[in-house]
Amino acid sequence: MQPSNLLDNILSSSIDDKLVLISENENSSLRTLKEDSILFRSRYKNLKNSNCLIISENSFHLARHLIFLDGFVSNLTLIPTSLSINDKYKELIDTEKFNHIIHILHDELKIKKLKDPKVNQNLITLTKWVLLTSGTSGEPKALVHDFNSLTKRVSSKKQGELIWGLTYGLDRFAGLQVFLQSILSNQCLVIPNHNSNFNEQIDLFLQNKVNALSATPSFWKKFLMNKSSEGFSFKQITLGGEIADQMILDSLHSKYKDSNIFHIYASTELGAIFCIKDKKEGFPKKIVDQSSNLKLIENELFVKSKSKASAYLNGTDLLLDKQGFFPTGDLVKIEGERAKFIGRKTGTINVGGNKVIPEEVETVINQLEYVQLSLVEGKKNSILGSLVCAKVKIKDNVEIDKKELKNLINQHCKDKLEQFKRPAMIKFVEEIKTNATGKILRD
Amino acid sequence: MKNIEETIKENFLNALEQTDKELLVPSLEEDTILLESGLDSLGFAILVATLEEELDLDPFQELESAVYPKTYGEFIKIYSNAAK
Repeated sequence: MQPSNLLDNILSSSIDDKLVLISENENSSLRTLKEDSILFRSRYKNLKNSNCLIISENSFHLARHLIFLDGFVSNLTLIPTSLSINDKYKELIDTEKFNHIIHILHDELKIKKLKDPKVNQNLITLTKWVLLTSGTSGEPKALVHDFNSLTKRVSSKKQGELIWGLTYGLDRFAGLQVFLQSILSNQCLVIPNHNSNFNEQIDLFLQNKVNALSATPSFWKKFLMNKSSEGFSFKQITLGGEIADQMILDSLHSKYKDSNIFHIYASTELGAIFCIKDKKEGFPKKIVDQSSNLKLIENELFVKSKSKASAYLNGTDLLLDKQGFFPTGDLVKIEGERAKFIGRKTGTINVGGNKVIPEEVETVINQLEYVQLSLVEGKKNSILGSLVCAKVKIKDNVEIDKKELKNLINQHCKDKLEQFKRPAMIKFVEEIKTNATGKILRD
Repeated sequence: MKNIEETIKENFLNALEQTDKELLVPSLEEDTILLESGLDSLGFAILVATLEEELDLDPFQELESAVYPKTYGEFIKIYSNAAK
């Protein structure tokens, strides 16, 4: 039977000196990870069976410690580094009975004991992983996973040839998937410093010959604008976290002809739901038709997933309907044999009773050559309730008169969108913010 | 500097264009009936929104619900009163 923790899994493969974790200033091979795990566990015996809260400022060290701790402590709770401990999270944290707080800094480890773990000298076989997330609704939640639920979709075929770049925070589900995929397959993971900017990240990847990358469509769009993207030869391109439209899929395919291109539909609550490999946007309608775990209700996708996190930490169950399905909040439209994601239910703008999904309008605006990215929002309006407004970021190194571009955008939207969906106002902005996972930040 | 009337006229015509509508009267006059001018409710909403951006004024937010201007002249008056 497959061992249910990281270290034992790693030990079951051949241990050598190939580097599997690389950061800007440090790196680790499977051999060093094995040796350091043994050292760590004998030095920190008091962490055995502990319920630990982990606050990390350094993803490289966090990756190493996840290997040391999984299978050794009873619980590990990860706080996203991008989150300051604000009130909502404090509440969540205070209700948990932590034994230790582990602070992973760049050059040291600080362990604070709050109370002793229960005396149970049997080695834990399945550590609970608790991920703090804003989930689908924006409300902070804690989701309980374990090695099995986290690795459900991770292929552990020992394919040593891939060198992954980490674009997501390691404290988030997506980042953990990439980490687990690479470490369990004997592959290499290149981890940028959290304070490095976009260009520095890309350069680190290029230096280390990254040929596999999992990132959001927004990240990929930015990546393609960067001239360093010329230097990569990808074997594996994965997209997730946002809707992957045909345009980004085509752009990636035409630039990296030899690469697989997968787009994954997943959520923190439910884990990975399906993975589409045909380089077409959306997914085959038959996936829903043939699955007893997927259904569409009023265009919203509902999922029943076996790999879902077992419960919210504060005891409330995931909001399941009577048959055990979870409303994803993702809206889908059927076009023939294909189902396409059109946007989030909660972002819907109501223009005089007509519903507009921001992502749909963004996709249209983004089709224009001069546009790098757009953000569509509802603006309160005393006549119709809301109007559609677009913030547009023009591509760098492109010369165009703003008025002319506005006209182009309006004309293009007239061709593609019903009237109430067309932006009533267009503003040009310097930057459209994305979050730590590369998703566009919406208010 | 443009006065309010000129601003409103400019934005009115832009709103028509943006909603693909034509001005159905030879010119905008004080007694032009708004509902017959060619501007539909979406165009009207856009007009109010763009005027709010430009004039920093949205009299419709504060108005009692039953008061809607019927003519172009009444519309202008609402804004010039609010601007004071």
